[in-house]
Amino acid sequence: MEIPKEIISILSKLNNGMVWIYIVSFFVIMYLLISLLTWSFIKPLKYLGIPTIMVGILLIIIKLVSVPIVSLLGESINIIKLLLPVALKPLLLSGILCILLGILMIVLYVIINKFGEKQAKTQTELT
Amino acid sequence: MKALKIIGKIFAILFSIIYFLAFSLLMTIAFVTNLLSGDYYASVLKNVDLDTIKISECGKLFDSAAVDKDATVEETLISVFTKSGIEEKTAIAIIDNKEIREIIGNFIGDYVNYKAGGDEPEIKRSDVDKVLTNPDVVKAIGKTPSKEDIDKVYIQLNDFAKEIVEGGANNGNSERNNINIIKIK
Repeated sequence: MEIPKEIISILSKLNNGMVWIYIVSFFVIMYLLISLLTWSFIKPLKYLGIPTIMVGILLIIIKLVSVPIVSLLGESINIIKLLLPVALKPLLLSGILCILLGILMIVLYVIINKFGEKQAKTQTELT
Repeated sequence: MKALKIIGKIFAILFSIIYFLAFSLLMTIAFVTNLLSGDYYASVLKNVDLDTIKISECGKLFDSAAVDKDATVEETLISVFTKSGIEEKTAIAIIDNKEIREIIGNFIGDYVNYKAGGDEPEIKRSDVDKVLTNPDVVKAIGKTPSKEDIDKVYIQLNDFAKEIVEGGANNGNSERNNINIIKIK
Protein backbone atom coordinates (compact mmCIF):
# COMPACT_ATOMS: atom_id res chain seq x y z
CA MET A 1 0.00 0.00 0.00
CA GLU A 2 1.41 3.39 -1.00
CA ILE A 3 0.62 6.62 0.84
CA PRO A 4 -0.85 9.25 -1.53
CA LYS A 5 1.55 12.06 -2.46
CA GLU A 6 -0.88 14.71 -1.18
CA ILE A 7 -0.81 13.26 2.33
CA ILE A 8 3.01 13.10 2.35
CA SER A 9 3.07 16.69 1.10
CA ILE A 10 0.75 17.89 3.90
CA LEU A 11 2.76 15.97 6.50
CA SER A 12 6.07 17.37 5.26
CA LYS A 13 4.57 20.89 5.52
CA LEU A 14 3.63 20.12 9.13
CA ASN A 15 7.23 19.14 9.83
CA ASN A 16 9.85 21.28 11.57
CA GLY A 17 8.13 21.33 14.95
CA MET A 18 4.89 22.86 13.62
CA VAL A 19 2.84 19.97 15.06
CA TRP A 20 4.07 20.75 18.57
CA ILE A 21 2.90 24.35 18.20
CA TYR A 22 -0.56 23.03 17.21
CA ILE A 23 -0.59 20.61 20.17
CA VAL A 24 0.32 23.33 22.69
CA SER A 25 -2.15 25.88 21.27
CA PHE A 26 -4.89 23.22 21.16
CA PHE A 27 -4.22 22.39 24.81
CA VAL A 28 -4.39 26.08 25.82
CA ILE A 29 -7.67 26.60 23.93
CA MET A 30 -9.24 23.50 25.51
CA TYR A 31 -8.04 24.56 28.96
CA LEU A 32 -9.61 28.01 28.59
CA LEU A 33 -12.87 26.57 27.20
CA ILE A 34 -13.26 24.07 30.05
CA SER A 35 -12.39 26.68 32.68
CA LEU A 36 -15.11 28.92 31.20
CA LEU A 37 -17.63 26.08 31.30
CA THR A 38 -16.82 25.04 34.86
CA TRP A 39 -16.15 28.56 36.15
CA SER A 40 -12.90 27.31 37.65
CA PHE A 41 -9.28 27.65 36.61
CA ILE A 42 -8.28 24.45 38.46
CA LYS A 43 -10.96 21.99 37.28
CA PRO A 44 -9.57 21.73 33.69
CA LEU A 45 -6.53 20.05 35.25
CA LYS A 46 -8.83 17.14 36.15
CA TYR A 47 -10.79 17.18 32.88
CA LEU A 48 -7.63 17.28 30.73
CA GLY A 49 -5.40 15.17 32.97
CA ILE A 50 -7.44 11.99 32.58
CA PRO A 51 -7.57 12.09 28.73
CA THR A 52 -3.82 12.88 28.66
CA ILE A 53 -3.12 9.71 30.68
CA MET A 54 -5.43 7.79 28.31
CA VAL A 55 -3.56 9.11 25.25
CA GLY A 56 -0.30 8.00 26.88
CA ILE A 57 -1.68 4.51 27.53
CA LEU A 58 -2.99 4.37 23.93
CA LEU A 59 0.44 5.29 22.50
CA ILE A 60 2.16 2.65 24.64
CA ILE A 61 -0.43 0.03 23.60
CA ILE A 62 0.14 0.92 19.91
CA LYS A 63 3.89 0.52 20.45
CA LEU A 64 3.58 -2.81 22.26
CA VAL A 65 0.92 -4.31 20.00
CA SER A 66 2.29 -3.25 16.59
CA VAL A 67 5.44 -5.44 16.73
CA PRO A 68 3.61 -8.78 17.25
CA ILE A 69 0.81 -7.81 14.83
CA VAL A 70 3.22 -6.79 12.05
CA SER A 71 5.23 -9.96 12.69
CA LEU A 72 2.06 -11.99 12.19
CA LEU A 73 1.05 -10.17 9.01
CA GLY A 74 4.40 -9.18 7.48
CA GLU A 75 6.25 -11.13 4.81
CA SER A 76 9.78 -10.03 5.64
CA ILE A 77 9.51 -10.74 9.33
CA ASN A 78 13.16 -10.45 10.32
CA ILE A 79 13.76 -6.93 9.02
CA ILE A 80 10.53 -5.72 10.59
CA LYS A 81 11.42 -7.37 13.90
CA LEU A 82 14.78 -5.59 13.80
CA LEU A 83 13.65 -2.16 12.65
CA LEU A 84 10.23 -1.76 14.26
CA PRO A 85 11.28 -1.58 17.92
CA VAL A 86 13.79 1.16 17.06
CA ALA A 87 11.36 2.93 14.75
CA LEU A 88 8.58 2.93 17.35
CA LYS A 89 10.77 4.08 20.24
CA PRO A 90 9.55 7.72 20.00
CA LEU A 91 5.99 6.43 20.45
CA LEU A 92 6.88 4.78 23.76
CA LEU A 93 8.69 7.89 24.99
CA SER A 94 5.76 10.15 24.04
CA GLY A 95 3.38 7.72 25.78
CA ILE A 96 5.38 7.77 29.01
CA LEU A 97 5.64 11.56 28.81
CA CYS A 98 1.85 11.89 28.36
CA ILE A 99 1.16 9.61 31.35
CA LEU A 100 3.56 11.58 33.56
CA LEU A 101 2.05 14.87 32.40
CA GLY A 102 -1.47 13.60 33.10
CA ILE A 103 -0.52 12.34 36.57
CA LEU A 104 1.17 15.67 37.32
CA MET A 105 -1.99 17.55 36.28
CA ILE A 106 -4.22 15.40 38.52
CA VAL A 107 -1.82 15.59 41.48
CA LEU A 108 -1.68 19.38 41.03
CA TYR A 109 -5.49 19.51 40.95
CA VAL A 110 -5.79 17.41 44.15
CA ILE A 111 -3.19 19.53 45.98
CA ILE A 112 -4.73 22.88 44.94
CA ASN A 113 -8.23 21.58 45.70
CA LYS A 114 -7.25 20.37 49.18
CA PHE A 115 -5.40 23.60 49.89
CA GLY A 116 -8.49 25.59 48.84
CA GLU A 117 -10.77 23.45 51.00
CA LYS A 118 -8.48 23.92 54.02
CA GLN A 119 -8.42 27.66 53.54
CA ALA A 120 -12.20 27.81 53.23
CA LYS A 121 -12.56 25.76 56.41
CA THR A 122 -10.25 28.01 58.41
CA GLN A 123 -12.09 31.08 57.10
CA THR A 124 -15.47 29.72 58.19
CA GLU A 125 -14.02 28.80 61.58
CA LEU A 126 -12.72 32.36 62.02
CA THR A 127 -16.04 33.89 61.10
CA MET B 1 -27.97 27.76 38.82
CA LYS B 2 -27.71 24.03 39.50
CA ALA B 3 -28.91 23.25 35.98
CA LEU B 4 -26.25 25.55 34.57
CA LYS B 5 -23.60 23.75 36.62
CA ILE B 6 -24.75 20.37 35.28
CA ILE B 7 -24.75 21.67 31.69
CA GLY B 8 -21.24 23.05 32.26
CA LYS B 9 -20.10 19.68 33.58
CA ILE B 10 -21.61 17.80 30.62
CA PHE B 11 -19.90 20.16 28.15
CA ALA B 12 -16.61 19.88 30.06
CA ILE B 13 -16.78 16.07 29.74
CA LEU B 14 -17.66 16.46 26.05
CA PHE B 15 -14.66 18.74 25.54
CA SER B 16 -12.35 16.31 27.31
CA ILE B 17 -13.53 13.55 24.93
CA ILE B 18 -12.85 15.88 21.96
CA TYR B 19 -9.48 16.70 23.53
CA PHE B 20 -8.67 12.98 23.84
CA LEU B 21 -9.52 12.27 20.19
CA ALA B 22 -7.75 15.34 18.79
CA PHE B 23 -4.72 14.89 21.05
CA SER B 24 -4.34 11.23 19.94
CA LEU B 25 -4.56 12.36 16.31
CA LEU B 26 -2.03 15.16 16.78
CA MET B 27 0.40 12.82 18.58
CA THR B 28 0.10 10.33 15.70
CA ILE B 29 0.74 13.13 13.18
CA ALA B 30 3.76 14.24 15.23
CA PHE B 31 5.10 10.68 15.05
CA VAL B 32 4.42 10.33 11.32
CA THR B 33 6.06 13.67 10.49
CA ASN B 34 9.08 12.34 12.35
CA LEU B 35 9.28 9.64 9.68
CA LEU B 36 9.93 12.36 7.08
CA SER B 37 13.14 13.58 8.65
CA GLY B 38 16.61 12.31 7.80
CA ASP B 39 17.70 12.40 11.45
CA TYR B 40 15.07 9.80 12.25
CA TYR B 41 16.36 7.26 9.70
CA ALA B 42 19.93 8.01 10.75
CA SER B 43 19.08 7.12 14.37
CA VAL B 44 17.25 3.95 13.26
CA LEU B 45 20.17 2.81 11.09
CA LYS B 46 22.67 3.58 13.85
CA ASN B 47 20.87 1.15 16.16
CA VAL B 48 20.56 -1.72 13.72
CA ASP B 49 23.17 -4.43 13.14
CA LEU B 50 23.49 -4.56 9.33
CA ASP B 51 25.38 -7.85 9.57
CA THR B 52 22.28 -9.69 10.77
CA ILE B 53 19.92 -8.49 8.01
CA LYS B 54 19.84 -10.47 4.78
CA ILE B 55 19.04 -8.79 1.45
CA SER B 56 16.14 -11.23 0.95
CA GLU B 57 14.65 -9.99 4.24
CA CYS B 58 14.58 -6.36 3.10
CA GLY B 59 11.38 -6.77 1.09
CA LYS B 60 11.37 -4.72 -2.10
CA LEU B 61 14.17 -2.37 -1.06
CA PHE B 62 16.95 -4.11 -3.00
CA ASP B 63 14.77 -5.53 -5.80
CA SER B 64 16.17 -3.18 -8.43
CA ALA B 65 19.81 -3.56 -7.41
CA ALA B 66 21.71 -6.51 -8.87
CA VAL B 67 22.86 -8.07 -5.62
CA ASP B 68 23.04 -11.53 -4.07
CA LYS B 69 19.80 -12.03 -2.14
CA ASP B 70 21.43 -14.43 0.35
CA ALA B 71 24.11 -11.95 1.41
CA THR B 72 23.75 -9.64 4.38
CA VAL B 73 23.36 -5.86 3.94
CA GLU B 74 26.85 -5.34 5.36
CA GLU B 75 28.42 -7.82 2.93
CA THR B 76 26.60 -6.19 0.03
CA LEU B 77 27.77 -2.70 0.96
CA ILE B 78 31.36 -3.94 1.32
CA SER B 79 31.10 -5.56 -2.12
CA VAL B 80 29.82 -2.28 -3.57
CA PHE B 81 33.00 -0.56 -2.38
CA THR B 82 35.46 -3.32 -3.31
CA LYS B 83 33.95 -3.46 -6.82
CA SER B 84 35.02 0.14 -7.35
CA GLY B 85 38.63 -0.71 -6.50
CA ILE B 86 38.67 0.07 -2.79
CA GLU B 87 40.60 -2.33 -0.54
CA GLU B 88 38.46 -4.72 1.48
CA LYS B 89 39.80 -3.60 4.87
CA THR B 90 39.02 0.03 3.91
CA ALA B 91 35.49 -1.00 2.98
CA ILE B 92 35.01 -2.88 6.27
CA ALA B 93 36.31 0.14 8.22
CA ILE B 94 33.88 2.43 6.38
CA ILE B 95 30.85 0.21 7.03
CA ASP B 96 31.78 -0.24 10.70
CA ASN B 97 31.82 3.54 11.12
CA LYS B 98 28.57 4.96 12.53
CA GLU B 99 28.86 8.15 10.47
CA ILE B 100 28.27 6.31 7.19
CA ARG B 101 24.96 5.07 8.58
CA GLU B 102 24.06 8.64 9.46
CA ILE B 103 24.75 9.66 5.85
CA ILE B 104 22.62 6.81 4.44
CA GLY B 105 19.87 7.60 6.96
CA ASN B 106 19.86 11.25 5.94
CA PHE B 107 19.74 10.16 2.30
CA ILE B 108 16.61 8.05 2.96
CA GLY B 109 15.01 11.02 4.78
CA ASP B 110 15.88 13.32 1.87
CA TYR B 111 14.42 10.77 -0.52
CA VAL B 112 11.10 10.78 1.37
CA ASN B 113 11.12 14.59 1.19
CA TYR B 114 11.94 14.36 -2.52
CA LYS B 115 8.88 12.16 -3.04
CA ALA B 116 6.85 14.89 -1.31
CA GLY B 117 8.11 17.47 -3.79
CA GLY B 118 11.49 18.40 -2.29
CA ASP B 119 14.94 18.50 -3.87
CA GLU B 120 16.52 15.40 -5.39
CA PRO B 121 18.53 13.55 -2.71
CA GLU B 122 22.29 13.36 -2.99
CA ILE B 123 25.07 12.12 -0.77
CA LYS B 124 27.43 15.08 -0.30
CA ARG B 125 31.13 14.80 -1.17
CA SER B 126 32.01 16.61 2.08
CA ASP B 127 30.14 13.96 4.13
CA VAL B 128 32.04 11.09 2.49
CA ASP B 129 35.26 13.06 3.04
CA LYS B 130 34.39 13.37 6.73
CA VAL B 131 33.81 9.61 7.10
CA LEU B 132 37.01 8.58 5.34
CA THR B 133 39.19 11.03 7.24
CA ASN B 134 37.63 9.95 10.55
CA PRO B 135 40.41 8.89 13.00
CA ASP B 136 38.76 5.46 13.57
CA VAL B 137 38.66 4.71 9.83
CA VAL B 138 42.23 5.99 9.32
CA LYS B 139 43.41 3.83 12.25
CA ALA B 140 41.63 0.73 10.87
CA ILE B 141 43.07 1.20 7.38
CA GLY B 142 46.52 2.18 8.65
CA LYS B 143 46.80 5.23 6.36
CA THR B 144 44.87 8.32 5.32
CA PRO B 145 42.77 7.46 2.23
CA SER B 146 43.87 9.15 -0.99
CA LYS B 147 41.71 11.69 -2.81
CA GLU B 148 41.11 9.06 -5.50
CA ASP B 149 39.79 6.58 -2.93
CA ILE B 150 37.41 9.22 -1.52
CA ASP B 151 36.19 9.98 -5.05
CA LYS B 152 35.60 6.29 -5.72
CA VAL B 153 33.59 5.82 -2.51
CA TYR B 154 31.59 8.98 -3.21
CA ILE B 155 30.62 7.93 -6.75
CA GLN B 156 29.92 4.31 -5.80
CA LEU B 157 27.84 5.24 -2.74
CA ASN B 158 25.74 7.75 -4.71
CA ASP B 159 25.26 5.28 -7.57
CA PHE B 160 24.18 2.47 -5.26
CA ALA B 161 21.85 4.64 -3.16
CA LYS B 162 20.17 6.04 -6.28
CA GLU B 163 19.82 2.58 -7.79
CA ILE B 164 18.02 1.39 -4.68
CA VAL B 165 15.66 4.33 -4.19
CA GLU B 166 14.90 5.06 -7.84
CA GLY B 167 14.36 1.45 -8.81
CA GLY B 168 17.53 1.39 -10.94
CA ALA B 169 17.88 4.07 -13.61
CA ASN B 170 19.32 1.52 -16.01
CA ASN B 171 17.32 -1.44 -14.69
CA GLY B 172 20.30 -3.27 -13.31
CA ASN B 173 22.35 -3.02 -16.51
CA SER B 174 25.08 -1.03 -14.83
CA GLU B 175 28.67 -2.19 -14.86
CA ARG B 176 28.13 -3.19 -11.24
CA ASN B 177 25.79 -5.91 -12.39
CA ASN B 178 25.98 -9.17 -10.42
CA ILE B 179 28.19 -8.01 -7.61
CA ASN B 180 30.27 -10.85 -6.19
CA ILE B 181 29.66 -10.94 -2.48
CA ILE B 182 32.76 -11.32 -0.37
CA LYS B 183 32.07 -13.33 2.75
CA ILE B 184 33.75 -11.42 5.52
CA LYS B 185 32.96 -13.76 8.36
